[in-house]
Amino acid sequence: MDRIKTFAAVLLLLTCSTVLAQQSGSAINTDAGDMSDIKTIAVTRGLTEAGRNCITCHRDLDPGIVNDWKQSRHGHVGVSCIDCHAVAADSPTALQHEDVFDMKKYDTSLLDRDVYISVLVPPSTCARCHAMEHEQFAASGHFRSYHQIVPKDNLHALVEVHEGRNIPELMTAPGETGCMQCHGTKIKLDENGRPTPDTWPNAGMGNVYPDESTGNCSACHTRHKFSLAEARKPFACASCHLGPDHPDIEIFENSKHGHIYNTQGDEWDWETAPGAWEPGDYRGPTCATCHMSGIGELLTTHNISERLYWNGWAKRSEMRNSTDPMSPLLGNGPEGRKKMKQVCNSCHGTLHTDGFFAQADKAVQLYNVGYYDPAKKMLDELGEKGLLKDNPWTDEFQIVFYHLWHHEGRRARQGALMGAPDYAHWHGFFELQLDLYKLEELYEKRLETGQIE
Amino acid sequence: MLVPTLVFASWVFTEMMVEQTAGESFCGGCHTMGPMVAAYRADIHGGAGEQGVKAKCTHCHIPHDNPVNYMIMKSRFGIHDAWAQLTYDLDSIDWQAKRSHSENYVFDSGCLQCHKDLQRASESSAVSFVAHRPYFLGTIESKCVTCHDRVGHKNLSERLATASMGE
Repeated sequence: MDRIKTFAAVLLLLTCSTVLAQQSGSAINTDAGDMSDIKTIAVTRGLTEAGRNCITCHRDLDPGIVNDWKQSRHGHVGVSCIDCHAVAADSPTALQHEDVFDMKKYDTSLLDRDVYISVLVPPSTCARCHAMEHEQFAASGHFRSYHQIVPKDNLHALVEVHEGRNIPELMTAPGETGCMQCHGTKIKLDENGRPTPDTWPNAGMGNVYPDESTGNCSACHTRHKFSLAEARKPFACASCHLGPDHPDIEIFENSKHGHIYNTQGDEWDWETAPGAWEPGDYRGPTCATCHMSGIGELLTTHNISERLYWNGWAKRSEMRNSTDPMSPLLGNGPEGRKKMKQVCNSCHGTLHTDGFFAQADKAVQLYNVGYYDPAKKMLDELGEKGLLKDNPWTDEFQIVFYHLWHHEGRRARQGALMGAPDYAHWHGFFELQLDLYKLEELYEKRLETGQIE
Repeated sequence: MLVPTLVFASWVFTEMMVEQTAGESFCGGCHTMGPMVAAYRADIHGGAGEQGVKAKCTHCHIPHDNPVNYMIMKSRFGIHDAWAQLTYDLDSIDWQAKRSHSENYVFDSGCLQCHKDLQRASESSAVSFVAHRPYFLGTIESKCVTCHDRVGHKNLSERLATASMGE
């Protein structure tokens, strides 16, 4: 009964203050306002008092977040806001509401001065309960997402000097709105321990958090629902794996797997327990099925590099043979191929599976030997003779070379490896032969004239 | 009669010395341990809980897997720390950085000496059950302090930042 009175008091207070604020009309308020008049959430089961107190205010202030949470598995098992957002007082991201916000409008009696919270929730927090998933992630290529771009000076030059026009106060815009949103960044904090706008918000996979932990679980399991079903659907991967340089969602849709998913995916069971989600629950695989799911004797993994043979995105594709997450060749090619074949064979016969990989491997080798090697040979020779421009983005040879491996070459290889004929051919090898003829023409002209055209 | 008496006396003496050199008053004798001891005293593991139960330094910081290894490690750490205290440039030690590899100097066997029945106790709530199950199944490599990274010393980072070390 007391609780109901408290809720009523809080609601009354909020309503009064909203009305007053509207009447005065002086302050610019960017809040959406109280959206709680339709739903009332009074959760007590399995939550601590401090945990309940978060919800008491935030169901009004952030109804979207609280609604996500109440539909989540976390909501079911009694993991609430405070279990992930509470930190030690000496944590770099620790703050208390009164230190940062104007709390006049709110019932501060609900705030516990011993409790410190953090806006950011690093993967080390998720790992307190999901340790195995975190360990597997940290051993995967996704771990490298941000770390790998740190030493690439030519990439920083592209994004800041060329794309950002070297305008001091604006040059980081392409990185912040582009690169960072998928690759992540090293998150910086302001004096209150809150993340700065040049590093946050972002949905990047490889964020380095102030506690030095790397990763971002919510890149696939978006907050605050952290849904298993969501991460099993191709859209979870598609928000980064798309476009001219790695059109993986387009490749999936072009494949028979995508055809079946697009036709019948609505009817499949997306909530089956991890490790037990197998053919029958679905009629065709998604990205997660092949790269992560436990099928038959094959164990579920959050290491997305584990079932790969080739490095399919590098300038030249090589067999994977490294245990270092920072290596582009992370993984064990032959073992990875065996595991991937186990996935295929859960639906297909071995004749089909073996034949598929024979076709795909041939395409990767053709790209290596028929396109990348000769293109690289010409590039090196022109470089030695001083026949390349310092600014690669005004040099037609270097631009075409970049497209050859970074765009067309990846499309051909990834299209072949994931069963997408249009990407293997028209967006891939067709474009590759045009690139190579163009490179040969420019190469010969430069050698003949001794000049850059 | 003399031999048994001497054996008994040396056993009592050894036991006494092991106990005497196990806690905050001995370990905190060196200035470098000032922030660690202060943070420990403010923590539940340092007696600040409602029941006043406290763990000694060695309970967490010496492995408890077997008595022989316990004595060897205790001697090794003791000699190292005395040597470091006398010869190292104490100002240059980055204690904060050392916290990031606490798995190397906080031992699960120590934690589990007191938290003996943690596996069964974890079943009391869905949250701790999910969290501790892979640990007891042995499917992860995480140690106790991988997740409980600030256990034992309350607000140690803050104290380290403000303390003047090595005086």
